[in-house]
Amino acid sequence: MLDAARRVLCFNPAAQACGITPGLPAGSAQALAPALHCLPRQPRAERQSLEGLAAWSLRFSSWISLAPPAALLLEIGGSLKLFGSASRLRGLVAEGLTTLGHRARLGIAPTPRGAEVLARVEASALDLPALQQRLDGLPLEALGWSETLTRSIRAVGVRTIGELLALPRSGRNLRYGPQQGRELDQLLGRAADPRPAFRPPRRYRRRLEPAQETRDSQALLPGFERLFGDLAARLTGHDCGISALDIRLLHARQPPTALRLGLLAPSRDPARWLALLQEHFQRLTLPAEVRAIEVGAERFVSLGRTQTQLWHEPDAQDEQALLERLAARLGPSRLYGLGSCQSHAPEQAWTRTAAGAGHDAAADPRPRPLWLLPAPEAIEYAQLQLLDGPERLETRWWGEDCRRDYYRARDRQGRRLWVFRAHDAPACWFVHGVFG
Amino acid sequence: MSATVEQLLRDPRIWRGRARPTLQGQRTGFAALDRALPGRGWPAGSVIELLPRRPGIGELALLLPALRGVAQSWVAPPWIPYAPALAGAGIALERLLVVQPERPRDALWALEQILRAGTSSHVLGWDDGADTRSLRRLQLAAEHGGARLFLFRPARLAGQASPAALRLYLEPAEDGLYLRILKCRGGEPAAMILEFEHDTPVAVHRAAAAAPGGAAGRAA
Repeated sequence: MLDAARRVLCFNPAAQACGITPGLPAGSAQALAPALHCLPRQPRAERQSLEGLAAWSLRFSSWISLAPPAALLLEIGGSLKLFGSASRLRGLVAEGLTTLGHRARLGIAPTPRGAEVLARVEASALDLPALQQRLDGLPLEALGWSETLTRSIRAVGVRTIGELLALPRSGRNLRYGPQQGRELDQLLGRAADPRPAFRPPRRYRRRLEPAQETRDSQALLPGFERLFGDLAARLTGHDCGISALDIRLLHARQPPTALRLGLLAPSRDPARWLALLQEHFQRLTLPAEVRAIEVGAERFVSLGRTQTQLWHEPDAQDEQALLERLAARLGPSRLYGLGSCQSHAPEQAWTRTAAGAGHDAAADPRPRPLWLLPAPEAIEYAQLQLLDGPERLETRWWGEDCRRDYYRARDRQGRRLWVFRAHDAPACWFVHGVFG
Repeated sequence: MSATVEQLLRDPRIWRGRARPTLQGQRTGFAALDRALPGRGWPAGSVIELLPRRPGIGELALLLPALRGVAQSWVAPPWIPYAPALAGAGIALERLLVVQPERPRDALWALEQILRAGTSSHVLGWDDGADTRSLRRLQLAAEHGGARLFLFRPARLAGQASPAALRLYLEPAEDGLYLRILKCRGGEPAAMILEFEHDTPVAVHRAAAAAPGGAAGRAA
């Protein structure tokens, strides 16, 4: 990988075997190893990744600050009680970062700058005297200052941070600039070091490129599993869930294939998302090879007690999962509940509700058919044997007065029908419902 | 008999000639029908096929007593389930899910999903010709979820082999429904007439038909 000046920044063991060293210009490196594959550094992706880790870190501390390009500061004074001890917390952070596929060096210190310095050597100091002691023996490079500055300090015979701190302050500031002087004060807690707190964005968008382009949607699932895990970790940091996922499959020369995974209740359960996605994939034919996959979530919603409650209701959870599975394959509009409402017009005495939200506002004591036809159908009077009626219903239907006489009836085939004739056309009979 | 064999025999899939099953069914609400069924009611964890000669002759009314207050799902109903009447019949609308898939294949899939989830104790499905293999899948799913699937199918399919635990052929009768048990696991074929409420015919004379609303309309 090359930095902005096209110098080698980091490399893999194979490159090392060819004699590649850090800081080597790209041209020279290429000359050493013609087969070398050079990649430019991607500052935006790095920043995104750092922000992602910051959001993830919210599980360990409520106060996080970014120290770009590659450092995160966690205030852990308040978290120690919760996690037991600094070393235990350190272990959890290290383990989590490894699981997420990152390599990290951790340092603990009573000042932000101190922590940055100690992280370079992976050391811990829990109070100022310990920090001072730890710093004394560290080489100048641990300060992370520029190479030229470090070299000029070394030129006067100073090799460790302790030796630098031992120099008289006024001369030091004069020689190396007041900025460095202030940094040393902040390092030791002698000057304030305010840092901006990280405010995680309450939305998510990540892209992943599979190792190989593929048309097989099943082969994409491991990638999604990783992104879902990442998103779930982010949501845990917010104590939130999401109620919809936007999935995009990017192709080389085609518009992306977009899917929306709707969830009936906010969730942060990656296994459930994956099962839903699989359901979608079963119906999906990919128009072309997939070059990259993308997962997005727009609105984080507070989960409240729905997932953290102690009295877990498995039935409600199962039902939720079932409805999601059905909606994923059939389309959400294909599931509904029924509601009854107060209305004289039979067509308006019922309503479609969201699945699971059916309600019974008005039970009708009068005889009503179990089935209603979507639209009244004409029927010959000769077909009918009237059993009960009439019941006159007068409504204003679309602004028109509408008077109908309804009867219970049976037709020649034995169907039990709800029929009517309109007041202004008494010879025309219509079936409006079936008693079934 | 050893305990293991006893256990095995309690499995609803084991059918022992005329022996009465130990599993209690759910009361149908019709005493004559309860008497004819081995579990004295609708068998649990099974497919119950209803084959009406025409749709709308009372096949849904037959189920109403069993559907009161239970969690249920209706898959691919032929018309709009009319909420005021259902609520009036004691069906808990807040526990009723309607699924209206576009294709018959999706309806079978949805039925299987719902049965397996076991979230609805009663599942109603309308089918127009699923093959025996699909029916077997549904039967297995019903056993898995412990749910009852009432499957409405046209009477022309009465001759098809079916793994359903109970198959009923229905025909309209003067005051209700003529019912014939075509197949009954652990029971015997039987036939009966179930009476619904008394329907008193009302005649509307041609003349009255032309002038509606009059009391004359009720003349017998």
